[in-house]
Amino acid sequence: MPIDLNRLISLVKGSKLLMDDERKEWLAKMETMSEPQLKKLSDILERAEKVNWTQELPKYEAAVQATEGAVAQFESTLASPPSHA
Amino acid sequence: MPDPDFRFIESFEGGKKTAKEKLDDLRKQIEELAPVVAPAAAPAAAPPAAPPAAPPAAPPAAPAESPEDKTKRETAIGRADDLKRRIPEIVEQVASRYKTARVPSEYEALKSALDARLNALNKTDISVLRTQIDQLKRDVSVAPAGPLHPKFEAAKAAVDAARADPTEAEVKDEMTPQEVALREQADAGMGFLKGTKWLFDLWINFQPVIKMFQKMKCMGDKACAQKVDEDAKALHDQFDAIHGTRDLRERFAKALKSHGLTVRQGNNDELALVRFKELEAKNPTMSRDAIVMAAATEYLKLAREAGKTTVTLYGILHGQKAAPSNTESLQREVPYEIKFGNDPKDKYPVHAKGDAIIIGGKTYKLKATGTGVIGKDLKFSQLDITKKPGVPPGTPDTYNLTVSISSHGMLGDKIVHSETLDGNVAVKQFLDDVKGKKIAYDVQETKVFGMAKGDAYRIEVA
Repeated sequence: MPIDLNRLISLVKGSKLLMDDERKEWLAKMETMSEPQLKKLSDILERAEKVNWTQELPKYEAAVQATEGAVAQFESTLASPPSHA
Repeated sequence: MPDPDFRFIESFEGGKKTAKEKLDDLRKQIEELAPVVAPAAAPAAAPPAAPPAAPPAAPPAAPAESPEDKTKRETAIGRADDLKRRIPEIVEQVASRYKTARVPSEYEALKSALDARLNALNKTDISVLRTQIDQLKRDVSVAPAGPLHPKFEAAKAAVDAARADPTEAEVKDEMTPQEVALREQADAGMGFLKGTKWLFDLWINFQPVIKMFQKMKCMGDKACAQKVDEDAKALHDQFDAIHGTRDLRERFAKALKSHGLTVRQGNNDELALVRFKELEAKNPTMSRDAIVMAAATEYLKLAREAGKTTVTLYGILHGQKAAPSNTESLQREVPYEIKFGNDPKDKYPVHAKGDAIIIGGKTYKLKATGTGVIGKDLKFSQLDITKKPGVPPGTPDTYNLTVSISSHGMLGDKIVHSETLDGNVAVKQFLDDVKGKKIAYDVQETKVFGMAKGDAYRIEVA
């Protein structure tokens, strides 16, 4: 099925999955991307459209925060002297 | 069943949008991008696709995102991206440390805890999609030399096929008095600085120091310091106006970097700058970045054909390439004659309603929606003839035909054939007539440098 480029542009411009600078980047790249790449981009952004961001964003934030905590613990261990040397 | 040796791009049939039209839509939207607003995309009639973690059903239409929500979302994405970058480095550091000084089990326990957190993060819908988009970004950046999307390929090939390389004299002959004056002015500027690029670089590099010393001499006098700033800016503007190649190189470098091309300083950067200024004069409604983007995009295919990875401004702006143009082989057989424009005396007659296309002695009238100029009053299409992949040159009965729109052109744009969307009857009739027959076109040089929105044009194919 041929790619609907207008739809894809609309997705890139509006997708919550992307940051503003990424939108520009994708729009600039689009002309030189192959059809399978465009299809892949379209599929990913279509899926992002279906995500319930109101529900998913808090889960995502919580997971990010928990991971940051684990990373901090890791880093502090790295900075501390070994307990069993 | 279409003749396999004379297939038409599907988008031409049934009055759908053509490849070039889509390409122009894309460019237009890109130009309109700034400032980017990020409302929820209008849910068009797109086929539903299951999300990775498969939420049960599509949520109801989301309300427009508030600035606070946007910040919140982008912050979370940014933090997650940062984590994804940092975690492998940290794990590596710790692993290295534990190999020598720590108890492996302690390391394993910590790593397991971190892995579990990371795993949980990666399982969220948003993270899965972010990972996919990051991977795609890498794929696109790593393998930029793949075949273009066929529609873009066809549209770009149209430009290539029609592209000619007018000599400096030809270009100058076709320039308006204002353009000639601009060119001469630029030439004079280049002459002044020719061979003195080191002076320019020296001046640029030492400018902050010079300014600092000048300001010190002001002894705290604000008006004096302000004047130093103003003078420096004026001087900078003056230099940049004459010798803005650095800025131009940086802009092109930025535009081409993600495609694996490096823009290096060349011996003819000044000439390239002159050419760029001509383009700017021809495209007064386009921003400098938009022109850079158009020219860079246009050049990319040539660079790929030539297998180039390092290019110069001159190469980009003069369309240098190693591969021969498709036009060459198309010029061998000329069974048809096509002319546009009512009045051949006009330099660039506007293609309009009632204009005739003469094909092999038969005349077809165009059904346009009105009269006007490209991209302004009328929508023009472009009939492109591209060789089917794998067909050797000189076999003119195996070309694909596409019809596409050109609302504004790019560097070296030549319109091969035009037709309005509403005038597809004429084009279809033309296509029916030539279908299955041997056909070849010799694109006559239009001498229009950088076809621009608002340009009128004359094309002859004979």
